Amino acid sequence: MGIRSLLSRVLGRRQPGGGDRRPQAGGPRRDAANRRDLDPAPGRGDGAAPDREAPGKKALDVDLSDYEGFLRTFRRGVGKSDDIVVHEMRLGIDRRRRAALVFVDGMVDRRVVGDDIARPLLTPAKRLGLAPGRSLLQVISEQVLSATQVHSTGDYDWVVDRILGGDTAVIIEGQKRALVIDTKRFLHRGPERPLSELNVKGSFEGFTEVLKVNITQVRRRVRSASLRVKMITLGRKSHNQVALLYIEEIANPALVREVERRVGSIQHEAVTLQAVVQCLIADSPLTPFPLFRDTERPDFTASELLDGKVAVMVDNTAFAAILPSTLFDFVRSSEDYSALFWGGTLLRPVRYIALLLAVLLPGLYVAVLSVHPTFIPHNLALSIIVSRAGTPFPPVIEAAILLLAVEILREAAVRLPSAMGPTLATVGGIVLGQAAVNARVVSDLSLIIIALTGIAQLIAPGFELGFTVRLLVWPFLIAASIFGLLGLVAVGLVVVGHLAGLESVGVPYLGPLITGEWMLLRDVFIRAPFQSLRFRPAYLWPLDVRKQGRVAARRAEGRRAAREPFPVGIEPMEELLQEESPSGAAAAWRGHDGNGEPGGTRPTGEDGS
Amino acid sequence: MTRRATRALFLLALLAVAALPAGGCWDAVDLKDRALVFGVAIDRAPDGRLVTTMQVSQPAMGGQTRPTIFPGAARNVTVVTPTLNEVVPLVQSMLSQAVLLSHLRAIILGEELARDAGLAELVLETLMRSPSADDSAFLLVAHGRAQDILEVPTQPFPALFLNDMFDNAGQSLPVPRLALWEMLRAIEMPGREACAPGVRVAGTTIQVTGTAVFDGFHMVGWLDDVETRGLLWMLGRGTGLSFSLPTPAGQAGVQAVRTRVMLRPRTDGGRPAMDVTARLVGVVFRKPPRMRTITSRDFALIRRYTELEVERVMKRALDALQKRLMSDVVGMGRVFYYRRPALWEKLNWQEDFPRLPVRLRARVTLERKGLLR
Repeated sequence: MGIRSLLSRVLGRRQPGGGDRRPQAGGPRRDAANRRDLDPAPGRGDGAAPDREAPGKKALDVDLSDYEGFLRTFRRGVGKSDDIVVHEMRLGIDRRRRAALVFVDGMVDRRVVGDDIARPLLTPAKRLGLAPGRSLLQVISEQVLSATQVHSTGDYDWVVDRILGGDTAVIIEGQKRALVIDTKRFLHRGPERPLSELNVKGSFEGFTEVLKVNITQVRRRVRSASLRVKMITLGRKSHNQVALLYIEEIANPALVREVERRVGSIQHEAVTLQAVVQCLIADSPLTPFPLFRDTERPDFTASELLDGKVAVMVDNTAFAAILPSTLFDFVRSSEDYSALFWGGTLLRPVRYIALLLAVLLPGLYVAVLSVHPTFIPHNLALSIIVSRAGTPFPPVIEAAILLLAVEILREAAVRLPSAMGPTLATVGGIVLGQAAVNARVVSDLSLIIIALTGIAQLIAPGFELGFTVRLLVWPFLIAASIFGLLGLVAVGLVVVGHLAGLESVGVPYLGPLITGEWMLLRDVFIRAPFQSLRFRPAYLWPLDVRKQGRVAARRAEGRRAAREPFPVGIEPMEELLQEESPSGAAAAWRGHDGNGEPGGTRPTGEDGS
Repeated sequence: MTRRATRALFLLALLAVAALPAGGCWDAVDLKDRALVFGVAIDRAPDGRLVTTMQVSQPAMGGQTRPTIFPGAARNVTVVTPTLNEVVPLVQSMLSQAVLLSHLRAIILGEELARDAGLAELVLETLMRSPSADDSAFLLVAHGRAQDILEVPTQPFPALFLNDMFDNAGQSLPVPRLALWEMLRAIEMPGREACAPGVRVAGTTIQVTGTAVFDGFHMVGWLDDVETRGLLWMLGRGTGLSFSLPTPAGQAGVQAVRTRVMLRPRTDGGRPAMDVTARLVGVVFRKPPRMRTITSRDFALIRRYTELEVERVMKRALDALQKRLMSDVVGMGRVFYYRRPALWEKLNWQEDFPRLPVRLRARVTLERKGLLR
């Protein structure tokens, strides 16, 4: 008699819940492995493994208990791929029973599969299976396997899904359910410096492509019990995981719901960050402005979460999308907060000026030169005439040629191996530019203007804004060449009007400028000291607006403390010394003080010898 | 995009289009295809026509790869026309680039032209009414021919040279300065005439010296250097001027650091009279040679002699204006016009100014006495 029939004879006569008579770790369990009539309700899996069947999902398209049938189906379907390993063996606890290990080569930890799954399964241990009231799967997962995170399921699709996700499935002959063991281990990048948002001071850690690692990085920075991570699996084919991060005490629930609704509405086959982006910018999908900031930096993500925003992360993407975002979020850098506030206060205006230059400078140059020459002071006019003498093209063509050249150079540089970067810079920037000026194809003034524009276009810490700026420069240039400064003003009006109407997940894109929270501007155009950044942006409707308490009281306390030379520690210590030996140690202490007065025992910087 | 947003964008675009006729590419000429007029010199030809010299920019290309503005960057174009209006088309017919008047920095009138009442009015009125000329351009009167000033060989741009001189030296030039708009104001408002700096060729360079006094549109005569200094003090200018003065202990040197003037109108038996008080803060840069040690009394002495000197020089200027030129360039009439309007109504300033009793006083403070010890 095979162990299968033996077990079914032993166990089959038991009443449901019979196994519960003995106290077992893990609470009430139901042995459903060998009783097909039982309802496989979720959360009541057999064995030690929690059940993973989704409610409402059509279970058992393939009967897992039909071992041969399963393998046949599997090999005809997913198993056709050569990187999928199906390793057949005979169980150590029952040599007549066949079992198969299924995993994807390269995605599993071979050591875990070998040492914690294959070897225990093969090791003969006859007596184990004989314990009454326990299914074979239960015995195997509890007493045989040394791997952790073992689940059992009867859902073929889910098994396949887990296998493709890097888990190992154990299919045992005659068992209706399969064991799925977490053996994920694939090569991935460790946290590196965030290349798109480099900094000098502060944290040097960037996100990686592994979602779990990224969440950990944020959690390390926000060790709050109310940091919530909501995982959603999306993508009809790709089955990607998308995580929503927010702080429950702060973020407005309506905001979280809206983000969740939008992310959940994704219908793409494969979910990438781009797909998420598409649904998140449903407010105005055609705008050239990035409606939310994506960042590579966990520290920036954490600080934005603390402001009441929501972060969306997608597996296999080293970026987190932070929303809602305002235009000004793209000009903030996490470095502003890791240096003296003077640094941020100096750099913020510089960035805004640079952004304005990046958009307006070529247009301004063309407008003034060709339409409004009277605006140029005579000395500048002279040097411009000298610079531009003998060049064949009007300023607008020069500017367009050079802007195009800058775009080409930049695009080439992005794709280039880093070793060839200096060559490109030399040949493209210096040789080409110098030669063009010497050959009088373009004037050196145009070259200066466009080079300045090209550099200014790179200044936005939010990388995406750079694209917008590079795009916007063209309408301004064309309008300026045709209509002069009036054209610049007209296009500017249209852009500002467009900006004022934009929304990011229902929040005005110009943030405090629209809502009139002038107090918040101290963290927009400058970076005020921390003690004055007391409130979260109210346009996010956070549950808790106050970021820190009133500082006046604390400051007074600090001043009082500063007046006392040694405010902390010295006096109790002195008492301690007096208690121990009134004459000895305290006297010695006073001796150190230099004046020996009982009242003035605190050594101060002024009268200490 | 909502309908409202679309409508708003459409309105903005409409606004933009509506603003377009105000300017645009149809009158756009690249700056390098412009001939910027930096200076214009106007003389009277013997037959009564105008000899106009325009100084325009002209970058010399030569055969070299780098163009250069110096030398030969400026080019003078001289035309003879009956009126000023014909000048620009005529000059344009000799240049490949489009003439642009908006960078005009210096207007030099020949002395003969400036003294010719009819012609001077014709020229100045045309200049002031020109929509393209910059009314902050400086107006000067040449001692002799104006064309000579623009043809000084060592200065690449004599017109810009003059402009920069006025811009940089500011108050410390020994001549008053006159912009085109100030001339306009002097003509349209009562009680004050214009005075323009004189300019002449001094060897290989240009020198401003003396003051051309106007009466209405035309020039009535010159003030010499000393009279000009007195005029400057009466105008509250002349900061930075240094002068030597006689004291019993020899010649002392004083430099004016700050100057201010107060014109106080009064009536003297129903007749207008004027108190002119010049306040001057000065520095003694050279002590009188026979003064060994300087005491407070010595300083009081120097101060008093300085006051006397300032009063003397102002008196000279005032005498020249009242008796010789009979033109009120100090603006005493303007003071009556503003502060005694009832009295002003009864006056005929052309006749009353030369007879105006004026009390001239100088109040001098000497600073930085330690420099001498």
